[in-house]
Amino acid sequence: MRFCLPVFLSASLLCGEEPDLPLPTWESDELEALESGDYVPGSSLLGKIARELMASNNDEPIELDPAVRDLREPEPVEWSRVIGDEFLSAYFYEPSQGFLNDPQKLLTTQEYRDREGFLNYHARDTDIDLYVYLFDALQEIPETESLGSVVRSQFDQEKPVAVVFYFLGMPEKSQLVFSDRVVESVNQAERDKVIRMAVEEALEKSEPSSQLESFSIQLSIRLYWLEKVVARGGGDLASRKPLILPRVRIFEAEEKGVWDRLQEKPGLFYAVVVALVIVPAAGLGFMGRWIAERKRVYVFPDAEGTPLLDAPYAAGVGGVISFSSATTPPSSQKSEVPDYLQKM
Amino acid sequence: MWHADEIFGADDVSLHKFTDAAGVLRMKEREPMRKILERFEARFPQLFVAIYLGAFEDLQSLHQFGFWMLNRAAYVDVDLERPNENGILIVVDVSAKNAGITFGYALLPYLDEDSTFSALSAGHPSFLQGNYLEAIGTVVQKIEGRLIKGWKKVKKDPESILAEGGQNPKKVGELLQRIREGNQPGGMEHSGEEEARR
Repeated sequence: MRFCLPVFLSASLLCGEEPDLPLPTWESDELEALESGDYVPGSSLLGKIARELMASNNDEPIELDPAVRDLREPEPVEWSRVIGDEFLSAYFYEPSQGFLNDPQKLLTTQEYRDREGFLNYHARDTDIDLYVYLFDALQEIPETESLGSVVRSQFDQEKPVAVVFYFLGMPEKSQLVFSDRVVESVNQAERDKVIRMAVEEALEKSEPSSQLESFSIQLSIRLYWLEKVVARGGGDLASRKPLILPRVRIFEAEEKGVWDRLQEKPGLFYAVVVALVIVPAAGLGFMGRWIAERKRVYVFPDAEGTPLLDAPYAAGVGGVISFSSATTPPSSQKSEVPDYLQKM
Repeated sequence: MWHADEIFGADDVSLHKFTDAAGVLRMKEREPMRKILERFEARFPQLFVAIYLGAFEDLQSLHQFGFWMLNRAAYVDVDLERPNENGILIVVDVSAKNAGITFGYALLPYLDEDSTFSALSAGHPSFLQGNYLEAIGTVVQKIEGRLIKGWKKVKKDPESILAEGGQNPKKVGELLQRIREGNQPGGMEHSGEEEARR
């Protein structure tokens, strides 16, 4: 039955047989009031003063009550630049409870869950954990506190960690500090590039929560590549062992060229080497052979035979061609050879 | 041979290897023509190419004329080491617009009617335009290619290749004897006729 009704209705509509829908009808007393002019449709939407004016047929403009007229516009609330004292410990003195630290609850519950879920996913997937501390756009970090001091006091410096102070709505104010483990492995330029690119990505969006989303995604991507750079240099951020390569070599690894990349792929590397060596060598070989062929002297073996047709030197019957017609192909202009000149 | 002699004469004729009896080549084209022939002789020290450009009024057979010419001509500017049996003659009748190739006995293993016709066909477009220098240059180049192929084959299997052309390898002892007798090396049995070329 559940499927029969829509099918029936659809079939009826298609056939042009619309069901008879009842029109609204006036109540008898309302209809009388309407006809007598006592009832104005829509008057219930008007205010009391407007209804009275309409009933009195007075066209004079309505004078606002002075109490209403003199009401002041509410002054815009100035956001505090100061972080409440009750939040300071959660920001600066206590270890973060998760990868996303939002003690002021600047994000909605759903936004918070989304961002925290992403940071958890990032932590599972990469070696450098990312911690984000959220502040409001205009808030300022107390002079006595800093991101560096938070990282030093709250995080294990032997672990690869990235901590961000993110100002919701103003991503350009963001700060990023790495733990010593990362600082030892990655040069300053590369570290600066991480935050710069994340901020640029965030500024592409206009809505604060979208900005935070873009920021965290881009930051996660950059951190992932940072690990790759360190790995190519022979380092391993996850291990507690000191890096094998000094920073100079890491820098060199980061600046790997096409040749180094080729060496990482043996198949392609040997193909390129072979091509680079063999192709010019083959070209030179062919050129040398061509020159040699041009200067080569061809000496045929001495031979002797019986003279034919009493001819002392030649009885060889060669071809004869006619070139009297430009439209006829050469093969059609082949002159026949007299029988007596055929070789016997 | 006697039939050709009846038509063209039984006497030997003295010629240059390049003869423009028809006068179709300009002066500036003669030097490039000479270089074509010299280059060929440098690559094939036993062989030579002769060119005859004629304007015949009533030539019955260009084949017959070429056959006769290569047997009767004494080329004054060809080395003794290159007897007529090692020669290739290209005859062009500019009046009847025919071109033909005749070659000596020594080249029977390497050239035939088809290969020479193929060489002439390569020069056909230039022949049609009356550009005889270019046409002959193309024909000679094609013949060179054919000879090089023949040379490669005969190097691998001299006896069978020579036999295909009705030739036999010349024995060394016989060759020495002929040299002692004052005949040129590398030639064929008919070196006595060289004097006729002079």
